[in-house]
Amino acid sequence: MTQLGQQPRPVAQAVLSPARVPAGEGDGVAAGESSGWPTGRGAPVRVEPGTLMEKIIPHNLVEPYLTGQRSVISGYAYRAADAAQAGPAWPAQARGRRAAESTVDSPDFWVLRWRSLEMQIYLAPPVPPDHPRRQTAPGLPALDMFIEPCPVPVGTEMYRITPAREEFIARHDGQAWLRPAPEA
Amino acid sequence: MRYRLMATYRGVPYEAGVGPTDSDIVLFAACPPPEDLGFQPATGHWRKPVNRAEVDAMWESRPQGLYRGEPCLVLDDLGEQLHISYTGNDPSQAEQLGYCQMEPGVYEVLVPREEVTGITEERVERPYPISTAPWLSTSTPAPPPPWADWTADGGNGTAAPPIPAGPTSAAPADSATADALAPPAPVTPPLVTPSPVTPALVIPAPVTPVTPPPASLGPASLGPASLGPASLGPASLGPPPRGRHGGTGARPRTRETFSELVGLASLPQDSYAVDEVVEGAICLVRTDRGFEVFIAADGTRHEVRLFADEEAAYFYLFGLLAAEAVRDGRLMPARG
Repeated sequence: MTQLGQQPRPVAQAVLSPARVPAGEGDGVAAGESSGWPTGRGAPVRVEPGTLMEKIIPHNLVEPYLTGQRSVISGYAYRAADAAQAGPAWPAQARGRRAAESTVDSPDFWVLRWRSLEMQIYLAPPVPPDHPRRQTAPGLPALDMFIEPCPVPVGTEMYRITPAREEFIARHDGQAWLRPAPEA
Repeated sequence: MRYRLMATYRGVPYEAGVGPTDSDIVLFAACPPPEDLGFQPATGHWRKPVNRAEVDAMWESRPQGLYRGEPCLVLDDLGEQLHISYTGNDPSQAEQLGYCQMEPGVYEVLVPREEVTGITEERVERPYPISTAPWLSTSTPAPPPPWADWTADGGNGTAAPPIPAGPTSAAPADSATADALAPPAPVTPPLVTPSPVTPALVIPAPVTPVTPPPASLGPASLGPASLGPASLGPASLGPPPRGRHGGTGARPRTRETFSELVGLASLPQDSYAVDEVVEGAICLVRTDRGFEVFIAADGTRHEVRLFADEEAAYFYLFGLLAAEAVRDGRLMPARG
């Protein structure tokens, strides 16, 4: 195992400082344009502890996570089971939509997976299911929940999803992300 | 000062991590703990996995403050800058305040430290046994766990995992997700039946994690018998302790009882402050929400506890002071 994040460096200001966020990068929202995404203070949703959860993370947050600069999970997430029950088209389309809105141009996207904890707070987005912001794709259900900021659970895993495969990237041990040793 | 999980193990607080289940706790120490505690060295820290039942207390340390007049959560302290997260519910407001949308619905920004005011470090208890939050009682039932179908029907395509692990996946054998994608893992069973709950994000009801140990203080010195009306007069209190200003008058008895106890225990009067915030002291102040007890340090309120009841706040304050004195050896059992 190669351990990353042993020498945390200052949070990437290019990521966090509004003055340095290039238009159209980071969150996919041009400077000065309101995204309209609600912040998630909706009705609480019960998620059974132990449920496998997943969320897409923008490309620009991958490095902050892996280098230990970012230690919370927050934002839109979903039960992996919901995605599966919605049918095989949903995950790809939902992810595609999220990825398209959250990342720079790339067919790849990144996800975090973890098992839900009692201490985590999941909320239904404060917009109706048919709100365009919640619709993942025409005719498919809106399954997202909003997870309030919480520490990255121990055992959380990061994957990179490409059109061809799913690549395990790292596993969080509570302090750092552990990556598999490079193959000889 | 940053948002993190903490846990007390054998009386000592540690930074902690939780997962993959609520019962799995990992304690982290920056400096090597005593060998007999069994911490293992890791890169840059020491760590010890424990079961939740072994932990005395667990809580979220949530530094919160105001940025441009609106509440924020301090995610990280970078020295001259703070990494903060918007806690409101209005995306337009977040953007007007200068927050960046990190991902849909998540607004954060790095700001100069001095621009975040009124920082308090709230302590949100995570009691054990784990109870179910009240607002969750009306929630929707969780669907069947995914892994059953995935593993059972892995080949038919209808219940496959959202994204099957590719043949080149390098996930480790003990990977949590690998577990989910392959052998079914039972959902963590409820640990207890629902019971009165500590709502997350709200300071819980008063608790008494630190109680003056009777063996150290002796019932004769602190028991009710010594607190008769005759002993509560101002003349018995000695010099007024720091912070006892304001002349609120509405709560003299509780305050006097507290002062009496402090005097009997010979606790240093500069170690606490009442009705004012004094750097380096354990402070008790009345707020709009009740009575707050906290440690004032570095211009910040640490380990804030909120009490609806004034008497409880005073006795909690006394408990903290007494515990500190016991640890320091200043409070010893009465001899003879």
